[in-house]
Amino acid sequence: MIDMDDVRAKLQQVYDPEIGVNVVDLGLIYKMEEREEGSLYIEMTMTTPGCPAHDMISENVEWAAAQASGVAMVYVDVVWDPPWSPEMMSIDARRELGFI
Amino acid sequence: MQTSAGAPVMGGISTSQSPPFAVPIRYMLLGVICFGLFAVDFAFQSLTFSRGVPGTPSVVALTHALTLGALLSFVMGAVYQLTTVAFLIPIASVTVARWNFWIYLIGVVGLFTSMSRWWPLGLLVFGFVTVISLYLYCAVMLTSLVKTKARGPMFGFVLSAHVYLILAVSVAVLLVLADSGFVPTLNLAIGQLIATHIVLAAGGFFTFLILGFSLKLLPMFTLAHGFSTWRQKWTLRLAHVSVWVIIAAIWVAIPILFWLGVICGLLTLIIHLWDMEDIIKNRMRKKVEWPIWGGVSAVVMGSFGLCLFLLRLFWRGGEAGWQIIVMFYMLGVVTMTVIGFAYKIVPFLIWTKRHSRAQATRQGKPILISDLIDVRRSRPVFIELIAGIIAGTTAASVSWAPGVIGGCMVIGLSIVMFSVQMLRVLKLPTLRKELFRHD
Repeated sequence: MIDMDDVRAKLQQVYDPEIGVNVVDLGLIYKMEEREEGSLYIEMTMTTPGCPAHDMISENVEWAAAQASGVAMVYVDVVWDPPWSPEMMSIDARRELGFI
Repeated sequence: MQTSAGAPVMGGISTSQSPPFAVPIRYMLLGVICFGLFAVDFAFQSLTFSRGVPGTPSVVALTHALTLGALLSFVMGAVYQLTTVAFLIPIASVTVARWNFWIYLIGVVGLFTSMSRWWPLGLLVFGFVTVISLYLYCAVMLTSLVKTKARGPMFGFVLSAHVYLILAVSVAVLLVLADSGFVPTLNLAIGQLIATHIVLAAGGFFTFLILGFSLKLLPMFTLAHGFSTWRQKWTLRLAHVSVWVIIAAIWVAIPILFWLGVICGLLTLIIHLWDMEDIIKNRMRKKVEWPIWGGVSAVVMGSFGLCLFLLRLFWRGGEAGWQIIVMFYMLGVVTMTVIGFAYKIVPFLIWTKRHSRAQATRQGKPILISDLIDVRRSRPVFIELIAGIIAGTTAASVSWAPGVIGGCMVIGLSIVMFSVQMLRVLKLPTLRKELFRHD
C-alpha cells in the first residue's frame, strides 16, 4: 500500500528551478493513484508547453516518488489538458511569487 | 509524454531533445570571452571613434569581434539549445554542430587577425573557413527546423533569420572578392555590397532571431498566459518588407524607398513592443526581472535607432554617420537583447548540468537557478550600457571627442561586468573538466 502523504512529501522536494517553488505547491501534480499494488500513477503538467526544464522536472518527480514508502513502480504522465493556471497554486506559492 | 521508474535508481537527467551540454556551452563560452575582449578593445579604440575615422582595419576587426566573435558565437550556442525546446525537435546533426565549433573558432580568430592587419590572403583563407562554418551552421539549423510541427510566426522568424544569415554571408563573400580584385566589376558596387551585408546581418539575421525567440522566452520567463498573438504574423510580414525595401533602396538609390523601408521597420518594432507589453501585462510572476527589462529596453532603443536612421537621410554625416547608427543598433538592440537572454540561458544550462540530478536527493531546499546568479546584478550592466550608448552616440553625432571617449569607456565597462558575471556562473575550472570529460 502506497503512503500518498509520503509521496506528496517527497514531491515537495522537487522544485521548478526557475520559479523556485516546489511542484506540489505550484499545482503541477494533477493526480496520484495506486492503480495496482505498489504501482503509482502520477499525472502532472508544466507551467508552459516547451518548458526547457520539462524533462528534468518530470524525471525528478519520477525519482522522488520512487523513494516514497510502498512504491515499487512509478508512471509519470505529463499532460496539457487542463492547462496549468495560477489558480492551481497553493497559498504558499502565491505568496512566494508575490500574488499575496 | 510518459515515463516510468521501475527502481529508485537515480540516473543522469536526460533532456531528450537537447544537444549534449558541451555543444551549446562551447559556443556560449567563446561568445562570453569575445564580449570581454571586444569591450576592452572598444574602450582602447575610443580615441579612434572620437576622431570619426570609419572603416580603418582596427575598427572593421573590432566590429567583427562583436558580430562574429561575441554575438554570433553566443547566439549559435543559444539557438542549438533553444530550438530543441521551442520547436520540440532535436538538432539535425549534433556531430556537425560539435565539430563546426572548431572550424568556426579557427575562422573567427584568423579573420580577426587578418582584418586587424588588413592581410588580403588571410582575409581570403580565414574568410573562407568562417563562411564554410556559417553555411554548415545554417544547414544544420534549417534541416532541423523543417522537421518541426510548431509552424507559427516564431518558426517564420527563426527560419527567415537563418536564410538571411546565408544571404549576409554570401554578400560578404562578394565583398572579399571585390576587395581582393578577383572580380573587378564588383568594385563599382562595394558601397552597396557593404550596406546590403549590414542590413542582411543586423536587420535580417539578428533582428529576426531576437524577435522570434523573444516570443518564446518572454512568456516563459514571466509565466505569461492568455496574451494575444494575432499581431505576431503582421510583425513578421512587416519585418520582411522592411528588409527588402531597404535593400532595394540601397541598389536603386531612391530616397522614398529608404523612408518606406525604415518606417516599416519602425512599425515592426512598435508592434513587437505592443506584444511585449501584452505579455508582461498577462504575466503571473509579479516581479519583472532586470534581464527582461533589458530586452524590452533593447526594442525601445531599436525604435529610437530607426528614428536616427530616418534623420540620417537628411543629416549629412558621411560614412561616419552611418557607422554611428550601425553601432547604435548593434550595441543598443542586438547586444543588449543577447546580454538580457544570457542572464537567463547560461545559468539554466549550468544548473541543468551541475545541479538538476542532485535536486531530488538533497535534504532541505535544493540549489536553484537563482542560487547561481542574482539577476539583480544585471541592473548596473543595463544602466551603464544604455547610458554609454546614448552618451557616446550623441557625442559622436556632434563630434564631441570627450563625450565619445567617455561613452565608449562606459559601454566597455558594462560589457566587461557582464562577461565577468557570466564567467563566474560558468566556473571555468569546473567547466574545463566537464568539457574534457564529455568530449
